[in-house]
Amino acid sequence: MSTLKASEAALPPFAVSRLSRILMTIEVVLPLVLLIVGIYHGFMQALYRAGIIQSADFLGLGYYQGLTLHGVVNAVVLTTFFGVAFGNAIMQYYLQRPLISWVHGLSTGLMVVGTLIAALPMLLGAADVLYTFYPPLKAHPAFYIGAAMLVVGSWVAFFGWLPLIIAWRKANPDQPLPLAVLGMLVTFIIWFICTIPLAIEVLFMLIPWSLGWVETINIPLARTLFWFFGHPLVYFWLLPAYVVYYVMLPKVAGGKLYSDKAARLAFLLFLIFSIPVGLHHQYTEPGFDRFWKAVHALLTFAVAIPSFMTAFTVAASLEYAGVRQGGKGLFGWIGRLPWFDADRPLFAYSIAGLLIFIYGGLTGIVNASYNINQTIHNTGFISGHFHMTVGGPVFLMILGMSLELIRQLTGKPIRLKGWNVAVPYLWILGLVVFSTAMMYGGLLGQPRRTNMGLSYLDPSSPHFRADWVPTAYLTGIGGTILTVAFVIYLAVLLSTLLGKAEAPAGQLSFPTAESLHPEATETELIARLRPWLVVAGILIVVSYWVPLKQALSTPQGAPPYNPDNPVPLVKVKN
Amino acid sequence: MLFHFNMKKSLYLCPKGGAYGTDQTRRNQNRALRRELCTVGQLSVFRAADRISHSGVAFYLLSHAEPRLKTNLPMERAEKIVLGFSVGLMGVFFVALMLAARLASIDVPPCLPPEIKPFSEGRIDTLPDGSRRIFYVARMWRFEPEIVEVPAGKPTEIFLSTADVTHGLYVSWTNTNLMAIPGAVNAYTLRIDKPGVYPVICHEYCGSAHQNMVAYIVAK
Repeated sequence: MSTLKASEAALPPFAVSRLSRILMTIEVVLPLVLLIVGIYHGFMQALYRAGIIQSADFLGLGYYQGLTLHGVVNAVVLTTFFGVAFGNAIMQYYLQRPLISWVHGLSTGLMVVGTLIAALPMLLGAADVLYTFYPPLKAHPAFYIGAAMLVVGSWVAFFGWLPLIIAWRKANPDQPLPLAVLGMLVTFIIWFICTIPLAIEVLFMLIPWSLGWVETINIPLARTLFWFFGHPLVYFWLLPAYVVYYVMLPKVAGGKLYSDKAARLAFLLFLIFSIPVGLHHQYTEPGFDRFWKAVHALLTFAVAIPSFMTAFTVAASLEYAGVRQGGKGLFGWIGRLPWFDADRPLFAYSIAGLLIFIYGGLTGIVNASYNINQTIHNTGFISGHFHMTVGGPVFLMILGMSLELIRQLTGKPIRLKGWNVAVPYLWILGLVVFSTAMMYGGLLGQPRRTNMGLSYLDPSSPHFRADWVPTAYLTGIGGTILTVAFVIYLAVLLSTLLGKAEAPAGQLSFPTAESLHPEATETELIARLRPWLVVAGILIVVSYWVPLKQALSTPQGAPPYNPDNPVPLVKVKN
Repeated sequence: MLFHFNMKKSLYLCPKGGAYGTDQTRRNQNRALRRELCTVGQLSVFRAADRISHSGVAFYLLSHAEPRLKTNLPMERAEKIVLGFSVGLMGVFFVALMLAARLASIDVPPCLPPEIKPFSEGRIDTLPDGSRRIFYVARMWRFEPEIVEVPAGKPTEIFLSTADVTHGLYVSWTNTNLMAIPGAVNAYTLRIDKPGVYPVICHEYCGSAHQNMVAYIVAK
């Protein structure tokens, strides 16, 4: 029985193959380059919403076109590429096995080509449907086809890890799976399960409909399938950050992981509770029984539990680290943590994300709260909330870990180190301003995804809302701070990429914390996956059986529409 | 109580059984480790958790839960407390929401019977008691009817249908927050107590002039 995973901590650096190194560098750098477009449009939207820009477009790029690019690049392309790149690194290092070359090449190829195919219609303004692409608004078919290729590419990467994990299990029959591997495995199992309904929506409904092969599609069904995918997507974004918090952060802070077993239990709870929750995005929609909305509310509350556990475990691990470094009294440990240590930027990126996630997580519970959602659904409150989750811990972890991966893959040390540790703190300062303003505005009734500068924030418009001006302005200020933080990050990234290599390239090695408490895992339910998968399956079937049946019973379908024309693209006889 | 991590072992472990013996050594190890931690550093979270676990409700729960959880080595005690606390907290929240839905009728939109078919013309009905029933049609990019007078203090029934794409309907400063979905009819009962002009805003992106889609309810 091995209780402490000392063996993990002692893993040697893993030298990746030349091909793998090149592919992984593309997976990390390409989305960061696209992010320039994504962040630019984020900044512009803050200005439109504040009423500073009172126009339908700026420099030839429309508001809703920019909003589509902002959502797709930041929340879909960046996160998927990072999940795959980080998973590739975790699997190779912790299993000490190389990736299968052709699988790696195929997955990266599909993802890059898919992204470019989807980017073209977005840049040409032929896909102004936002990143949720709700029908019956229709995008160019290339948008759906490209998105599908991106997702399939990530599936291929996932399938490529499974033989590595099986081989490792055979070689280490009495060892529990390394915690980081378990975390990424759970992340991608959730991703695989939840992208199946998305694939059904895109392949069997949206693509034939956008090509004109079928006249109408069932809208409530398409929306239900989308949110079947849309909320687990959030955990696909979040769980790689949790892997870093559990596995690496305690070590970086100079301590140990408070409880290895609790970390494993948290990941497994995510596996069962993160999928059957999608109806909480559809509380205000017709066609579903209140009972099933309440069931999804309950299950959404259940998925908050592993996050509470994470908050405790990570805080306790950090306290241990602070105490070990001489922190005295109840709060003395806080001052001992490496907040501004330029040689440990991963700490700053992690802790800033964790701090903002307290605010982001609690507002998420507000959103999930069944009838309370009536007050805030589709208002600025929602956007304020998720900028503190996917735009908070997730985004900061992607920035911080991308730099770390670039350092390991290229052997180039991080330049402008002092500026680098300032980025996450400046970012969360901007977030607090931006999100508080968005959420306060939401409580005053500001809609999300709306070019407010053209009507509500234009004093000459009959719809002008004077009570929205202060929060809308504050949103603009918050958005500006966020943009400044990102520009500093870009400077760090560029000078790092242009710098000279000082270490051998392609040496993967991650700081790995030991467990503080001796706890056994390998003989128990918690060390196994199959029972949890069965429970996840049962919960999905039970929670979605009736809602899907109700969506399927919709009497009539809808023809496609262009976003700038009220006349349908297909005439339907009623 | 919380989880049976090892079903086989938990079968013969009972609160007062002799099976404690098998875990006694590990429990002593844990205690020694705990003491060590408290001397190495004043681990306040740890001490607080320990204190809580020896008091009141938590003690009761744990003293019953512990023997079953004690398989070969349990999850750390404070973690179990956090797990139990989180379950309890979310449970209290959920019960509160359901009570509000039941007792105060603050609820989400209902599922209408299939006989109620989508409609394509807006209409205002006045009921015998003077209250209104509004049939809203949302279309790119306006609501029909655009201006409606309703009596303050009386319930107003709202039905919502869409003539084209997906829209939203949000009556400012109220809980009336609805989606207009092609193929289905949505419904809600609104009551405005304070007379005034209430903007009705489309809050779901519905195309290039989405930001102009506003109607008004005048409560008198």
